[in-house]
Amino acid sequence: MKRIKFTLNDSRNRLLFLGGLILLMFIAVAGKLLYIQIISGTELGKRATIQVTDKIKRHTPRGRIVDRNGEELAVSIMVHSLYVNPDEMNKSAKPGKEKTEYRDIPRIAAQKLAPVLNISENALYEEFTLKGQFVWVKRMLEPKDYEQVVKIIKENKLPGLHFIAESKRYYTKKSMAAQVLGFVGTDDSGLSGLELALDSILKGAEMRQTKMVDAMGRTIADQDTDLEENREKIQVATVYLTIDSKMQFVIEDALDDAMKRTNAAAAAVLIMDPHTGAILAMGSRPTFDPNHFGKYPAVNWLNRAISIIYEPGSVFKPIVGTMGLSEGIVTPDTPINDTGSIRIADRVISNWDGSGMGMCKFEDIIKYSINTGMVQLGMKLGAQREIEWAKRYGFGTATGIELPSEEDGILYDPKNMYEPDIATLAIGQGIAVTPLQELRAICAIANGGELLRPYIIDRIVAPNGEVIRKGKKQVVRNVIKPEVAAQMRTMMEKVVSEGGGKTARIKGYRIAGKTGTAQKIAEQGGYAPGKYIASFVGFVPADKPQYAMLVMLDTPRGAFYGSQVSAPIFRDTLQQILVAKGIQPSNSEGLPSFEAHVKPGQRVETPKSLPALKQKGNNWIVPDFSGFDARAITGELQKGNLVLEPYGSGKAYKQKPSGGTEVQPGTKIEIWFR
Amino acid sequence: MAASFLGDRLQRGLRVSLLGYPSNQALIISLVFAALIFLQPDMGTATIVFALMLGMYVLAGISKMQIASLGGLGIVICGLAMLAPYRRARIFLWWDPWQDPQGGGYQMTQSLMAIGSGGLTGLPWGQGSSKFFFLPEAHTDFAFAIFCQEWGYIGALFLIACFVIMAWAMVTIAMNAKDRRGYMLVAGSTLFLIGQAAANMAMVTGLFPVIGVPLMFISYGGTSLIANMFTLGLVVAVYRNESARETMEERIAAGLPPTEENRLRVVSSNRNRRPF
Repeated sequence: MKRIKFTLNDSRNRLLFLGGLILLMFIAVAGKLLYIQIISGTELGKRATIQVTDKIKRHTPRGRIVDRNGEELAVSIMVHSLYVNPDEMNKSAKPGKEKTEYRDIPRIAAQKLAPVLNISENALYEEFTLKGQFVWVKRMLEPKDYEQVVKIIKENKLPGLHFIAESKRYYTKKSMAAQVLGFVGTDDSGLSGLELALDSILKGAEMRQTKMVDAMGRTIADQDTDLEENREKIQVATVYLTIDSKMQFVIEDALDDAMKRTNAAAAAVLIMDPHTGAILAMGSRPTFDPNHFGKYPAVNWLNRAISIIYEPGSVFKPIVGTMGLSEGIVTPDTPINDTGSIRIADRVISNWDGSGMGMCKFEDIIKYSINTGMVQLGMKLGAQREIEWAKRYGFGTATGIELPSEEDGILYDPKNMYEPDIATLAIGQGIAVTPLQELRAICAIANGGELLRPYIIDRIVAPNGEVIRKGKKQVVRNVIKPEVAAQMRTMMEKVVSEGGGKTARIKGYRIAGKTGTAQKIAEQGGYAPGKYIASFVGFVPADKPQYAMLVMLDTPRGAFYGSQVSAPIFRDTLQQILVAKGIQPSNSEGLPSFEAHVKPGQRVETPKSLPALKQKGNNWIVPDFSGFDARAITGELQKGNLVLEPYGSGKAYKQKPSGGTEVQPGTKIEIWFR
Repeated sequence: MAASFLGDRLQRGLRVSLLGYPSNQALIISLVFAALIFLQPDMGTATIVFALMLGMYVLAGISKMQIASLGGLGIVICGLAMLAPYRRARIFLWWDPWQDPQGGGYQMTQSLMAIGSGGLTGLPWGQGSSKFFFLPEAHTDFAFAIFCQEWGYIGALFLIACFVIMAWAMVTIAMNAKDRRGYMLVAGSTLFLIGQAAANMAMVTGLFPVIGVPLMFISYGGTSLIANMFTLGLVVAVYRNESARETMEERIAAGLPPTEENRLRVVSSNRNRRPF
């Protein structure tokens, strides 16, 4: 082989040549970079940003619904919902680490979590092995389940499982006022009741958050930091209802009792303030627990105070009565002949017991709920006036209360009314009303003639304390003159004290009311035989009413007269309420007297009256408090801004400073009790 | 891995310039090394080893014929590659990775997005989003893409300039090295280090198909770092040797004692005297 001379120089030349090639490469790179970075820079940059940002929606806890005193009815707390990022879970084995122990993470996770989450292991495994970055596993975990899951994840070092905080609705009083409150679906949207009507206010802010995520979907940085903490503080508005939960509790209890005793198909109770139109209590049966609304049939979700219509029957009579009084057709003393039954065209309408009282006053017609008398009145009124007055009383139109699904009721068109229809209207059949409409009309009688718009929202308060909305009395119109109302009130009082409503009597209180036993409409038309709607409506105290209440029982079994089943509910419920609210009896008739209570031989001590602080300039003179209890003393001391430091309990026997000392406001008074 | 290059290079350096194949022991050894590396698997590094060896041979003086035939062989291989349809698809994918941004083109499109988003001056510090698991090998082979994203075009140019300057320095050292082994050492080192840098950058920007070549001093990897520094160290050693020698020669030419320390010895010895 020829040995070609290859000198160092030759090599050097080659080196230079190769070096030159490399330099060319660098120049090419620089050129390509120019293209990428400068020319296409923004476009590519945008693409890079898009894949990194993630827009998610986050919810703040739903606004609270509370009663008029702030007692919580529906609240939301943030709970954790579990989701899995399957990509992350399955990518955990890095290449090169295959020598280390391989864990089938999805299988392990499915195994361990199945019992806690109550989901089958196979179902979980399937979710974990999907392709994707976000799959709900279980939403709204209970706090203790959440803690268990966290523990399992930590102990087994399970990747890919994360939590998102969501708002979960709790109805703290379970089924109390369930239909009024309604309920909420999984995505924090109200589906019924106030939750539906006020959904936009309660739902509040929906935060949109942009954040940077890595290829696994994990957050790099939040635009706003400490999001979780901030969310708890961001509150939504609180809705205060006019409902008084104490009253509500009483009627719920009464309703349960009534349903049990009478086996009725359904029931409704309403309490209203006759002067303002505020709804103090509203209950329906059958009912449900909004915390688990799905477990109940949809018919339980119905708010029977507003969403059902019925023929009121005799409770409509006072209203017709005021029509007669206003038109001047009758006065309370107008004589009416009651023959037990009356014939109108081809119909015969009789009294409930078939017997007549002969000649009686109009007020007796109301007192004893005499059909014949009412029919005579109705015929004299005529179709046109009957319907006009009914409309004036607000029948045939929804009241406009802030709840959804309110019925309008059904009124005849006077042109279509035959004589029997005119007659039956006077006794409360042939008109369909909601319990709320009926009660509202009675309230017009109770308050002296004002037809009010009922409302259930007392106020809505924004998180910063500002009152967004305030419920107030709204007078729709003046229906009757105050004198007419007063006359009817007196008559209604006699219903309870002397007439058919005796079962509603509460000793010591003046109650006005009306019983009603109406035939129930059959589904196919006409009336269902043997099926009645038993109601009682009334207000107390009769002369200056503070509460108006309606009780309606649908198809009670066994006893079915309003006076038998509904009036006692009225009585028991109101008795509790009157005592709870401290409304003094009008008289002590029938109430046990002090003497009756004192056992013979017991010394009757005339109670000393509590000595009062005497003011001296800016200071106070402390009296001798011996013999009195702490509560009474504190009340007295508060007047002078003095503070009680009690020792022991019982009756006071020693005090410092002693009686008669002058002290400055804010002084601490020490008193020993035994 | 780099150590094996060095081993090769040293051997190469030991051998004074030789022709083609009779002296292809180094080549065979390097082939063996390359095969081992290839089986790791690390095709990129194996390719480097082999290519480097070829390069050294070219420098060492294989005939133009052989160079030409090597080049021809390369073209043939490319042609063969084009035949198989999936390979062809991959080559097209290389050309336009946006056809399949989630699949085969993922690496490239991510790289391009990363670089492009850097614009002129780069994104604000740390905000380079691609390193959050979007760009594969973001800390190793594709570190340059992240560098471009965060330092922008200006930064990239600066980096290129650094390498160019380094190359220029090393070539200068090589050019001035009288000792053939030292020359080969430095030349090979230059090719190795700078060639790698250029290749990496070309790959990251899409000029080359994706080969697993890291970027010197910037890509993550402790062994690689040490190996690179070792290489540079050798280069510097050669430089010092050569400069010492040059100084000595200059001093002799100028009539000065060759080294500063031992004047006595120099004066007395004739051996280091160059004939005029």
